[in-house]
Amino acid sequence: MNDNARENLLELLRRFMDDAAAQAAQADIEAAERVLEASPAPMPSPQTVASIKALTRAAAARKHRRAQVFRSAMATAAAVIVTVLIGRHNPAPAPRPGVNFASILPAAIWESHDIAADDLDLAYFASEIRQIEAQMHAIDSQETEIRGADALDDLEMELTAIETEFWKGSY
Amino acid sequence: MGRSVELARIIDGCKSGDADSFAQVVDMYAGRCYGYFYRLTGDRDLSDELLSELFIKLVEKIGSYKGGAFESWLFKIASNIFHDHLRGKQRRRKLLDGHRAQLELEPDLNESRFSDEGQERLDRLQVHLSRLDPDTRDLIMLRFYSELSFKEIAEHRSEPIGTALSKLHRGLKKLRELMEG
Repeated sequence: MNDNARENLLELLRRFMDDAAAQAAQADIEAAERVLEASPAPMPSPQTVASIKALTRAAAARKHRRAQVFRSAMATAAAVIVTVLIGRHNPAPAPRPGVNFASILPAAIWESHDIAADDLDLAYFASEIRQIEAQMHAIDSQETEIRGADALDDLEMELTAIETEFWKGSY
Repeated sequence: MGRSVELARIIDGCKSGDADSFAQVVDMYAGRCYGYFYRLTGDRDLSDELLSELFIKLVEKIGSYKGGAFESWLFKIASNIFHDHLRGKQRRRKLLDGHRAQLELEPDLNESRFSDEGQERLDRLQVHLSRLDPDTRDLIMLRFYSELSFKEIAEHRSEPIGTALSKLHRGLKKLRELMEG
């Protein structure tokens, strides 16, 4: 036993018992420790020590390799994170919303430079859409005498006709 | 002072993964740690195994050593390894109890192992130590082989210092009586 640990033993024992009992306990403990010291345990065999040294060498090498792999993985992860962050701070320009909305209009209107004619066409186009919308509502709410299948057929034909005539430039 | 400086240099070497530094630590502490395990188990083969496990753990955990008494740190790991071993032994015993009927029909491997151990000459101290309960034995050996203070031992065992002190006193007194009887 080391001396530092033994130095405080009596003081420590006095915290739990009176002085006489503490001194007796200290004497018991020290006498028993002398018995332990008089019977040293066997030492490990040289083969055991050599084997443990080999094991620690291998374990240290494994740990070193793991650390290297971990470092390279961290470097890769850091590079990916930096790339993502740069991408977030400098996003690619978003497509202009106007182009997307325009794509639902017939090309004939979109490409035309005749504003007066286009306005008329657009007004007609919009009224057709409103009419179709109203018919759809009527079908949904069963407020019309037109029954489901026939009404849908009529609508489909009407839409096809509008689309064809638009593409021909009739509107 | 010189020894502690030398030890600090060796530990730095261990932390940087130097295999020779680990070998030096093995040379310095294998004897004491082996004594600790041997006095707890009374089995040389098992002590060899536990000692190997201790130094492998040392390699794995050296990064977490943040200074202070190295011996104390090392023996806390040793004590944990012994307790893990005890817990494993208890689990195995429960498993064996569950299959007792089957085992009784088979050749008794445990008995043959004991007779192998019987070849090994056990000293008187070892015989009397084995009469103490494992917990008290661990407490006595931890106190004797490590440089842990009572406060550290109590903290490590998660019990009040007075309890640790009282168990140690009773255990050592009983051991002395057995040895002198």
